[in-house]
Amino acid sequence: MIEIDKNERIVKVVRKHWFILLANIAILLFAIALPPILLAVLHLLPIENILSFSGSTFAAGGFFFFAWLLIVWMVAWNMWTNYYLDVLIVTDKRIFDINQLGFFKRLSSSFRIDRIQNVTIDMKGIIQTLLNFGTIRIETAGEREDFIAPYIADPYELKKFINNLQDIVLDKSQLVHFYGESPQNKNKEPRASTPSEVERLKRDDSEGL
Amino acid sequence: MTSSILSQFDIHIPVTPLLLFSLFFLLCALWIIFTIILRYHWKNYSVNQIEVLRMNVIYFTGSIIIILGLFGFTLLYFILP
Repeated sequence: MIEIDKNERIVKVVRKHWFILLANIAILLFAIALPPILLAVLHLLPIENILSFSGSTFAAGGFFFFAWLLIVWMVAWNMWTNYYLDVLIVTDKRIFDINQLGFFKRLSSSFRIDRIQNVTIDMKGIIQTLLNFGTIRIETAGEREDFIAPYIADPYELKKFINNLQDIVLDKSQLVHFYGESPQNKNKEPRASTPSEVERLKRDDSEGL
Repeated sequence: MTSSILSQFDIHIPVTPLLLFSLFFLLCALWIIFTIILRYHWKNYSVNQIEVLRMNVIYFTGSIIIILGLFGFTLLYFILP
């Protein structure tokens, strides 16, 4: 359900750096280890005072541990899904920013590549520099706010990719202009009839002639 | 300290096989609802179907192992004196 046109093609999908997942993994590992720590090591939970077992204590302990494991497993997949669906999609026409904030909150925004004016990378601190991730800020024409995507993996590569794609998109729109294929000029003769002439016109255009 | 605080209250829960079976079915129901929501998100919002297939395999394998473990211990509690 990503709002992509039929003739639009996804060219790149970018996610946040794996380092962002590390904090979640640490929380999960701690959660898995928590019941045994509380029960066996610290004796903080006075289970024998609250629960009375009619059967094997080992079996009951196993049951509660697996029940806890199932809950942690579901929390883990919730965390992974938030990470996996929180994504930046670059198509040959637009960039989509999708923020998955839990299962029931999802923000999706998009803008056209030809409206990009400036792409800025912001890498702060030793961890971001060493692991090569940071914030990418894209300024677009118009009054809308800058587009900001934090913790993006390999942001310089993404910036290069967006710049190249923008060049291609702008070149294409120029070619359409040269060939005069706009709806008003459809029945007119093209201004440049051969590829060499297109190249010459492009060169002249870039030199400001 | 926690023991002394809790001993002041008269909280007593008898853990019977019926209680464990009830908890087991409750957790299974919770897992089914969670799985439906999770799969809805993967199906509708993912951009790569191969990745989704791989995630399905990992998710269901792990889930089945945990649920079987849960069921096994419930049965064990019922069988063992």
